[in-house]
Amino acid sequence: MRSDEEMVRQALAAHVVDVEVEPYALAEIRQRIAARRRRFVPAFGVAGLAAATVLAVLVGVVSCVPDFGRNHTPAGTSSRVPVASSTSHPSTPSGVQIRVPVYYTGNGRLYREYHVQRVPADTVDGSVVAALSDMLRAGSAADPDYATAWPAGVSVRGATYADKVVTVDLTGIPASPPSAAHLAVQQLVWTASAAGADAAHVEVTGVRLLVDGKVRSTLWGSGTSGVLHRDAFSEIVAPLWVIDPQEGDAVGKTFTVHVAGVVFEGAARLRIRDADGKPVRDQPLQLSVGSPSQGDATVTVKDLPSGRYTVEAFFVALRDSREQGLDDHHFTVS
Amino acid sequence: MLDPPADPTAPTRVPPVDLTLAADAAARAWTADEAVTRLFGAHYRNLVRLASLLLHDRAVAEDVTQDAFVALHRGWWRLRDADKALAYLRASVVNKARSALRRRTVADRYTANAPPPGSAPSAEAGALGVLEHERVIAALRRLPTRQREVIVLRYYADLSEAEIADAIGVSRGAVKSHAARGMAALRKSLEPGS
Repeated sequence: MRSDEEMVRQALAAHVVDVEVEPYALAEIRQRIAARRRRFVPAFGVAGLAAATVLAVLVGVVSCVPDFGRNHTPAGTSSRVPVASSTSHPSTPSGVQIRVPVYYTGNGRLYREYHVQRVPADTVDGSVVAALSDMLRAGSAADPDYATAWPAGVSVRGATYADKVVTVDLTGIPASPPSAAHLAVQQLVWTASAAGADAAHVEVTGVRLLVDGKVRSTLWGSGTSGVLHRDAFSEIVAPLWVIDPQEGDAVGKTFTVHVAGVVFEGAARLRIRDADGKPVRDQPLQLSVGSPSQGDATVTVKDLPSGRYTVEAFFVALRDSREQGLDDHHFTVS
Repeated sequence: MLDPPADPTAPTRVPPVDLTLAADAAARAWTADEAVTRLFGAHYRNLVRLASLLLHDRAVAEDVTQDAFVALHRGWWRLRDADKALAYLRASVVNKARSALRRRTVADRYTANAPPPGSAPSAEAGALGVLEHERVIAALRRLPTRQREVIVLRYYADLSEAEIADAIGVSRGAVKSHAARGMAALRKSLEPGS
């Protein structure tokens, strides 16, 4: 015979067993967080003025960051990782460790990674320089499928932020263009915009390019005298990419796969292959929103045996049912 | 806290995160955004269900749970611990559910609404079981707030007295007292002829 306690336990469980959550709940939470940030930034800019002059650029700025992922933010777009303090913008003698977004190219499209770097202070210009330094360095991408479109020898001299524009000063630009000159410029524009916006949740509408401190009218045949803008992300950014696990990650028996992308009706697929290439998971993946907006989805994967795996995100083309836009990362379950 | 990389100019991979391990070191490496994403995947549904039992209003339950995640994001810089984060979320849901209940509109809905349709009874459960469950839920709704919270946290969330005390901000003795009174009221409601 059941005890009263057991009866109560069963009644409570039965009463909510059919309570399901909204499919876009995570996106809604992120939108609320983004809305709170927009309310917070102007006040913080005023309060922080005396303590951190670098934040003066924030005063009066209403942050409405256009970087994709801001409203439907994939994990980790807030990139501040304080080293030794619980405050968000510490400046210590040893500097701060920050996480910066860096765009790389693959299959003629841009993919984003996050890299952790130590910088003297958590500032917009410091973040942009850190991100661009990685972006320009060959072999800096964690995923071997990604690369920089920039030629060797180019480095960043500095960066500033004013009037919603990040100004980047490069040096070492060769006269001959790289094979994908426009993609290279877009790689820089997207990286500088995202790093600047992430640094202090400010709006970045474009990037101005200097070479050795001076405005150049053209770079590899493209006009660079004015402000450079990001191409529409549906035109330039990869349709799908795996955020987690990152390339080379080691995860536990239960882990989360996080995928973002811009695909029709948010309909993607997720597949995990074992070391022999045999699929051990193959399932539909419904992103939070469909194109032209960027959506994302997380899936908890349980009980994979230890070993090496490959996670793949892709979508199936309506026209010919072919797999398109595949992004894959190798990882280890231990 | 993350250790600084040996080479300040070298990129360092973001540490992999596994919620089931819930290791302090890993959790402290999460950004606030990551914490929200990880904890959402692991706990959001159960927290909505918890709020649903406290509020008897599923839409408001989801709303207060989302509020709790936003609050977690805001306070992550000082929390930064996966285990504490779940306790924080749970306490936040309970508090926000209590506040929501105090608001007149919600209170009206709570008392006036008919119970939402429950799950279709399984063959095992049978009509008698469904009837019994409905009587328990109806009796639960009539309990004072603290008693209802304790009963739900004890018998739905399966928390210890100490965890319940933390979640609702009372002493362990008070938890025992609320639990005893709540169960007595539920028993009485289930007596034949009640």
